Amino acid sequence: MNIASLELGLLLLGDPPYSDAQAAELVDLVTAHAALNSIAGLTRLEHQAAAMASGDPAAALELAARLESVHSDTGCWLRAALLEASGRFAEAAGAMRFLREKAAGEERAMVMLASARNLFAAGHYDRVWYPLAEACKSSASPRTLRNAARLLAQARKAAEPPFRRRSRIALLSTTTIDLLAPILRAQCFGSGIDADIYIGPFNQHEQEIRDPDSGLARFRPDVIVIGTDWRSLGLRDEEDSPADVVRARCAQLESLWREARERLGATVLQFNYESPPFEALGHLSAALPGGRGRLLRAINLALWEAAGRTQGVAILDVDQIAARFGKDRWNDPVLWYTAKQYPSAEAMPALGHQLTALLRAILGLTSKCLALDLDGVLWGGVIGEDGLAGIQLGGGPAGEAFVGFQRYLQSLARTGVLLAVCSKNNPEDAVLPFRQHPEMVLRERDIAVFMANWKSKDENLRAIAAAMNIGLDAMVFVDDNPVERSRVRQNLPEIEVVDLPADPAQYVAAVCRLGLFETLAITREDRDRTASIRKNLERKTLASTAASVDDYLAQLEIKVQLASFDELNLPRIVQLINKTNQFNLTTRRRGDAEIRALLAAGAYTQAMRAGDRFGDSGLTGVLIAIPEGSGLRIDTWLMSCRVLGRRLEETMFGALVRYAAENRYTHITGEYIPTAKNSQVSDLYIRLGCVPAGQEGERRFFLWETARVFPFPAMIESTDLTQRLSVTV
Amino acid sequence: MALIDQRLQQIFREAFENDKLTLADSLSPETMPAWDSLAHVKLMMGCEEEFGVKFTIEETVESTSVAKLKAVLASKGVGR
Repeated sequence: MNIASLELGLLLLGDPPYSDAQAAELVDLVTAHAALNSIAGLTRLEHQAAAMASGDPAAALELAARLESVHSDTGCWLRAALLEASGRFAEAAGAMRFLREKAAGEERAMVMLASARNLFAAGHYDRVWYPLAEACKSSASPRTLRNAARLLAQARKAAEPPFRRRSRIALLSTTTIDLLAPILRAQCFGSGIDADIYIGPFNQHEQEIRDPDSGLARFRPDVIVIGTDWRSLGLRDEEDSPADVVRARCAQLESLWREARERLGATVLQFNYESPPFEALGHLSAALPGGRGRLLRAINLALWEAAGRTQGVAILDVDQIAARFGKDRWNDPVLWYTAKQYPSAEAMPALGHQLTALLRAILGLTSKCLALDLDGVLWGGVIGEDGLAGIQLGGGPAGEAFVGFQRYLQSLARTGVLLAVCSKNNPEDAVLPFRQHPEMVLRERDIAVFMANWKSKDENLRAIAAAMNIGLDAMVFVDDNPVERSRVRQNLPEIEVVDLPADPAQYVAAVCRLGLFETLAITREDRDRTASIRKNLERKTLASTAASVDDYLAQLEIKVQLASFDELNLPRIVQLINKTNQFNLTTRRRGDAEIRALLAAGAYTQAMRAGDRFGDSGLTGVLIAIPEGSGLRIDTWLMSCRVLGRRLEETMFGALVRYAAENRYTHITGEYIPTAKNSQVSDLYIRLGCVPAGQEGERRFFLWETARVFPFPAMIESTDLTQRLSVTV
Repeated sequence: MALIDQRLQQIFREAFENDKLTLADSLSPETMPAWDSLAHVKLMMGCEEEFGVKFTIEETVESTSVAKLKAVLASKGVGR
């Protein structure tokens, strides 16, 4: 019998228990519909399996055994479901292993979640996290995400998940937002964030923020999400004095932000307002000066302007998220009238996904590098075989799509994303289009690291990360070959692999949708990053020809400027404090408000800019020292990986010693807190000549007596503006 | 267990975060203290997702027991 779909076939088959003939029909069905491409079909198979196992356990296991020789992905899925329903979790997880890389999108999420669930039930706790995180990343289904959150809660009682950051997130809303919490928790986990979520009482965001004894205040949030919706503004279809309304609404929120920032020390994520899809005035709603549609847009603009003036406030573009999702589905009138749910249940994942993208930016988890395959990614065809004239690039629909993707990539590069080429090609073939193809948008100068050779992709990706001095978890890999993608996923699970669709028309959406490159601000250093990495590689070439390290450093002609923190350099300092991992002595993450508080309390600060004959590396070093008794304690000290290995730490430390001496501090205490990533500075203070001064838990202390003079490295020319501001005690 | 019960039981287990829950027609907010307004939304949503249906306000308000929920589903053509 030829049946149109797996679902229909299962429907026709009827309820278990099954006769032998029916079981044979079921096997035929999963053989004929072998591909994992229907969520409904997979869910139904799970239910069939559960019903069979509870009705006739022996028959269920017999069928599972029979399916072992069936080479079909849905058959494999059914077998795993039968084993799971029979309590054979380890076997079920084993059956699922080969399915994990075979599906994409929602089906992939389902397989990953089932795999994690069985691994957990079988007691393999350390192997739960990867498939669970993948499920959280690839799913947009509220149900899958809710179930993933539940599994996460259960599994973390048994073992510690590999989180990269922790964050206490408060959700304050004028609508019922409770359903967002588990979804957001799952999505945050997918990004390595341990989200501790507080849900404020319905429609009480004002009281919660202003009342010093509120649940919110006791929760001590790192981030406050203010989820105000358009209905809560109570705007009429047409307002009489629109300018006043806009000013008043915006001022009200600004004053809330101030409270949240100054008293609670939290970063604020403010929702903007959806322009509702149904307006009595229709098009006039936006055309009339006082129309509600017009006002909501004006309020949104005013909010962006206000947030631009305020540190630590970011706007979540809810109107855009709703539009992208489809406003008809974003709004569910039944759920609104019965439970004050907004947005609709099915829209929660879209909202949570974008919220997570901004949280990643706040927590310094923005991905840094996009590593690109060439053939089939930047152009159609194979350059090594088709030649310059044969590849698809411009000049036709598919060629135009590749040009469009390249434009998108170039825009990303201009905001600070590093592009790398990771291609199996002869190097001279690979560079040809970059140098000679007239339709090529990307040029060699847009590529920070260019790897075209015949080594494996994993090896090249490692080399790219090393050349850029970034972690593998900051890399995103784009390849049109599913085999390469699957290999990288298996060998380098830290790397984010884009599920690239077959059609180049969909490339931009596939990368953009992931929200991996969201940032809160673009600094000068971001814009110059590619050039800076390229110069670093030139420096390495110089280093390989210099006689000694000092000789090399002398040839670099390094110039350093040290300045105190100020309004202009603070955004970059906050960015560095929240993302620097390797040269970071204490890895204390702090927001803008906390740093200002330290300044107000009299901390000594250094912001280091470095440059050399190859160019300016920008603001790349940060030091905060806090007066304690008769000495100074180095609370925070970090340097961007771009400038390591140039003895700049000696210049920074020397300036601190001089400041301490001039201001009659008797000693400096250095502090080191080990993390997974900062082992390279574990002996920094010893190398500088400090003496060990004990330990307190994880914190290790070191001492420098100010009476000793610190020798500055002679080959570095430095200007120290921090001393000027010193007040003589 | 009939397939419809199997599917409903799974929805209930997920909504109440209880893997031991056994479905019975008599389950209702009166017999289950955990069946509050939020749980009710989760149940309705779970059914909409699982069975591909859309409830009206009246159906949402009426479905306050497993028996009543099944009747509503049956009226929408969901029988198994």
